[in-house]
Amino acid sequence: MSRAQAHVTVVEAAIGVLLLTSVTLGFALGTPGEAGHARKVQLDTYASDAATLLTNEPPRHGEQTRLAEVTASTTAFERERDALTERLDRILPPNVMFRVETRYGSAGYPQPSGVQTGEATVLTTNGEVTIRVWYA
Amino acid sequence: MELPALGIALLTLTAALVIGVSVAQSALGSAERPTLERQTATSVSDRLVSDEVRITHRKNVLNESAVPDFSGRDLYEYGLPAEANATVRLGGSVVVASGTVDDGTTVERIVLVEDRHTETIEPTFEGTNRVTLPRRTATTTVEIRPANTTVRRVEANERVVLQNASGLDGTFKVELSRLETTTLRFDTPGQLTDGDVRIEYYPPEARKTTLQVTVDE
Repeated sequence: MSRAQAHVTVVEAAIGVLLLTSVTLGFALGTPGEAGHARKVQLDTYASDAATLLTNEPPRHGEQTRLAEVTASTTAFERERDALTERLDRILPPNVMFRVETRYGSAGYPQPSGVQTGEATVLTTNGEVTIRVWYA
Repeated sequence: MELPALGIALLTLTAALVIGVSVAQSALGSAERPTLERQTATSVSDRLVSDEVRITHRKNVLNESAVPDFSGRDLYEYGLPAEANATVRLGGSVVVASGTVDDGTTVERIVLVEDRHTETIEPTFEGTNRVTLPRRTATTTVEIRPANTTVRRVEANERVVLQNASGLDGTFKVELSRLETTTLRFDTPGQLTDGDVRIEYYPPEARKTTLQVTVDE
């Protein structure tokens, strides 16, 4: 009889330890990962820095700024597309790829699916320009 | 038999609880540290590239000649907590370090470093009173010393920038728009000649680089 009672206490203790261990494991493994969030923040920073630089750059032909120029018309976009790609290629770090979206079309690299991206949208006199960046 | 078993069971449970709590605390603590450091690094870097600090010309564009004057004490002015250490690298080389940074969290910003050099032109004014500056510039210094005529007005792209009814004579600083090419027109009753006007302008030379702020708290 007394043997059986001792057994029950040990089983209870074992269950208790198991419960506590599972909670501990939850803390050890389940705390939100810093790495993924950090990458996202850094990519967003790249995108907004690139947008800031382009916004403050003089236009090549008409309009007020370089970004307003690319979203002025289809002709303006077609004319500026290569120069814009080249400029962004030079501004962004070598391991970062990008795509620029305007209402007259997109420039840059095709965006692969399932990658983490950072983005910045700038409003110009002629409409929105969105810059999306991701690690190559 | 019952009491020892209970005692051992309690001891085991307590030990598991203590281990559990300490693991949880260290896990939460280690998750918090990089986040806090990242927040600090981001806010300091935001200040460093904003257009209101003296090392920048405008947003995300640093003034090359002001970078060497930049000191570690400035970092604390720009929001670095007193107990934290930080390093600022420009294009990989350390510009400013305050304290020692062993392992910290880094935020990278894209910046241009701009250096303005001085160019001078002396227009010859053959049959015209206009000069187009070859490059865009934010400011220009115009020296007007007319030999045979008076300059009453100077216009930059149809906008009057200097005016004096009895004649302009001397050195004047003129603010221009760096977003467009500027044509200066000199309003004179007669014809300007070579040497009457000397224009100094300051076209920017920019190179792109990265600004890395590492914070160790």
